[in-house]
Amino acid sequence: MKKLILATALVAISFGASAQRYFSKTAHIKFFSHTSAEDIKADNYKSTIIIDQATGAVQVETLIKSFEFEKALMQEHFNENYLESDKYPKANFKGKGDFSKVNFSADGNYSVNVAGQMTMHGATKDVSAIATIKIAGGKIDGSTKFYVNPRDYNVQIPDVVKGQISEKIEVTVKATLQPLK
Amino acid sequence: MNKKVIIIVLLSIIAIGGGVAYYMWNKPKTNAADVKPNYILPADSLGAAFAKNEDVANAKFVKDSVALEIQGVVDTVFVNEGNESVIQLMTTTPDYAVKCYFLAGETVNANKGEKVVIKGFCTGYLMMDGVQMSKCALIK
Repeated sequence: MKKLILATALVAISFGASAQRYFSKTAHIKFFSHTSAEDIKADNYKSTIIIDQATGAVQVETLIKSFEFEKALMQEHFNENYLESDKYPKANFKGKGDFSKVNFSADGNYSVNVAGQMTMHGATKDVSAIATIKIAGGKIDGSTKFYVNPRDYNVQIPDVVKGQISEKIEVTVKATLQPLK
Repeated sequence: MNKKVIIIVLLSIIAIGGGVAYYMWNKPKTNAADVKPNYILPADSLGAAFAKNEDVANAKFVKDSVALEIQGVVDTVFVNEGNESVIQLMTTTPDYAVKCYFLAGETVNANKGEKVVIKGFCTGYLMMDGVQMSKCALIK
């Protein structure tokens, strides 16, 4: 009986030591809108992600004003007219994924279902996506892709430019994760 | 005669309108170098303001029309994946450093421990990361 308790305690300790939190402060979030009239893309290389392997919690934060467009005028319109970033400066995602099968300390590729809620422009909606985690030589790369409709987040797009902005905007997230010590 | 004048006036309006539209569409991104700051404060005070109450700090500092001039000591200097130079200023509040991002492609000359003055626009606070500033210009 003592041996069983000892073995259980050792397993618990070793799990506790390996299951930890991983983060990035330089996550790249890109969105891409494609229409027959125009392609629009913006990049943000300053977002944060934290994953807690033990609880499965995933949290992403990004600042709206940090999205960089090719054209200054597009960036102004995005901030002032559409996302109203003075009023809603931050977007975030809070969700969960099953990271228990991911061995972060050995090379491998994993697909993890992540689901949760994204808040942007004062609106919160359910979002789910498959995240890919690639571990190679100690480097942990995470990525995912999903689609959002601006209308779901109460983004008002004037009729005159409706044909230029897609109702299915592709959002890509990429990050190199590090253990949080 | 009248017709000619009308045509010339119309063509002039179209040409001027087209020129303005072309300029607006292609206007370059500019940093905060020539903008008069609305607030002048140490990096530590900016970090502390967000640590105390993020919503209040957002309402005060995160505005397109509000430029900041920040004094601080350089902690780290690096270039991120978006080719943006970054100067991180030291603060005494953990997780509330001030990160100053320059326009992509702009180089900065600053070293750890140097006292600097930077103008820019505050974009907000991110968990674990700190307060972010964009369109920054190194004043001294």
